[in-house]
Amino acid sequence: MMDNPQDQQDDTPQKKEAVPGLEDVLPLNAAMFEADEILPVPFSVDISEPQHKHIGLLERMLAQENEGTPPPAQPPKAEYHPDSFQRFLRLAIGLILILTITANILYSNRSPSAALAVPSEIVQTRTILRGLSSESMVLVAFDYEPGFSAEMEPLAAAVFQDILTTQAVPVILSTSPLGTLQAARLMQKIQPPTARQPIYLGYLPGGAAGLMSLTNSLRNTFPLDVDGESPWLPDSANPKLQAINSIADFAAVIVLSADAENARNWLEQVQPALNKTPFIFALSAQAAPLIRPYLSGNQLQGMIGGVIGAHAYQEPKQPNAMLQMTWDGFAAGVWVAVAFIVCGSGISLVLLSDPARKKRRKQRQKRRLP
Amino acid sequence: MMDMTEIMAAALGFLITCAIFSYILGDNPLLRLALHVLAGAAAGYTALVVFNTTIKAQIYEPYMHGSTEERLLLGVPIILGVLLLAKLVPPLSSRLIWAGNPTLAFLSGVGAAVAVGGAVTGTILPQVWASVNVLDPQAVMETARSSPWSLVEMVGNAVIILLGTLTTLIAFHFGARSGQTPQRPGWINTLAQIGQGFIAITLGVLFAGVLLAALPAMIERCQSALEFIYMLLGLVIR
Repeated sequence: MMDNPQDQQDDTPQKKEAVPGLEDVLPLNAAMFEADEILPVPFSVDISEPQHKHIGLLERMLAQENEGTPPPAQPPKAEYHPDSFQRFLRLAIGLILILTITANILYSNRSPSAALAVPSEIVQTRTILRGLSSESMVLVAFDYEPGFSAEMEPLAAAVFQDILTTQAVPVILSTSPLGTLQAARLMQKIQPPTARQPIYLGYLPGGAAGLMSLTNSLRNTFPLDVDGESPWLPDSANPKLQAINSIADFAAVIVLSADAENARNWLEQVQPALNKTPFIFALSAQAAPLIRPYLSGNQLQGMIGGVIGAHAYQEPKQPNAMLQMTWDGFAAGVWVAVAFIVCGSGISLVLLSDPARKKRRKQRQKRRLP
Repeated sequence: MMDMTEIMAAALGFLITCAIFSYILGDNPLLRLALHVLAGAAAGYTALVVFNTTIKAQIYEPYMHGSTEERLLLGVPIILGVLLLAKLVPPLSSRLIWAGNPTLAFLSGVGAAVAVGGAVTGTILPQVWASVNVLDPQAVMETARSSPWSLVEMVGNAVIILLGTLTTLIAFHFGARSGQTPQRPGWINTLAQIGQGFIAITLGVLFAGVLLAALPAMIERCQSALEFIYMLLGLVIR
């Protein structure tokens, strides 16, 4: 490229390449844009009647491009303004939701709510987690961002209640830089003083490639823990980690995730290497429907989805305090949202069936068509 | 009794919550300020974590304390990383901007290989196998023996899965033979409309999931704002 004299005169990256840094991907040859004449096409073209019409239409459109068009007339003030109506709707919906939830928090009596039907995957999760022993090491991945902590913390608390009760040792890692902080925050809230201290391996960079590395070589992927010490040495704080050489040596692998893409990465990179180690997901309500097919395909041994899943998971006799605080407001918020959706759908149906509106819509469609 | 740091943290949380909630009045400078503060704080913390867990733990420590072989092997990521810096500062290195290309090529190649390999072995093959198993005659017979109601449920599920998969795929079929008018045959159009119904239901489920995931965040923020107001009132009364 530097052989071209033009490039030597002006060698800024923008001039040299269309995409800076990606040389020759999109070559920006100046000669391409400096042709003075259009060369005749050395072949004849068979053009059908509809194509002739389209060419005529295109030519008319191009001709109109050069003609000055009058500015669009300003709508009269009294006419309907979609923007202001949207703003009003947003304000009304926001205020109603905030007031309902606040009133629920203020006046809720925190009485135990009715037990939900427990799906089979939650029963399986309970069985696996309650079958752990004090000798078990459990790998837990905190793969959610702080924005989801309000939903994920009650879920994680429900899972950890069982892990801590069995005295199993949680080994914590995260593919999100903020994940270890989330784990430490949760442990501070729920961990009883007598419980076993978790081992924090820390942040695993690289996304899917990082997970593959974790599967292939656990010890090389985490040479040091978050304190900068090697957790794999015999004289380390947790000598039981000596027995762990690969990810399949853990008693269970639990992934707490709010993102379906991230959960899928775990399924694609880690699950095939687990052999018989139980693989459990605790997911946000937005990720759970997308991961459910993997549960049906027996790639997962257990799954809890969202606040509703956490509520079904907990024992009615031992309610999870963190979940109980969210549950009442959650139920009220869901009812309000359902009411809005039903009312909105009803109003839309009525408006759609209005003959005057139908006529206007048809006229608009006609105007759009050539 | 709360110390000053806790009071300041609660006040900051309350102010940022109010700034975020101000979005119901429309886009405004307060909202943008809060978003910038959150993005900046997250980016700063992320940089610190990445430095400690990646650069220090994976590069610096092994280089300082590792054997000669380990140091030589570490040369590869160090060189690739340094070359990538050429992309970061184009005004300083306009003549060297190409130097980062091998690193980008390596990252793209490894990323694509890992993603494709994982998708085939972790999603496509197991999911195809699971879809086939739904219609496995042996499993159907075993279920029929255990309970007739389970059989009805199983067959119903299988029919819905089959119908949903086929009609959704057909909904994206827009092919037409040359010489014909570009219009789908009537029977394909009917099946495509059923497929569009399945797509609409799926999008509805995803929307419901997003709503259910966002509600707890709103509840937690309302709760924290109320706690702060109670705390302020308690301080004033005292």
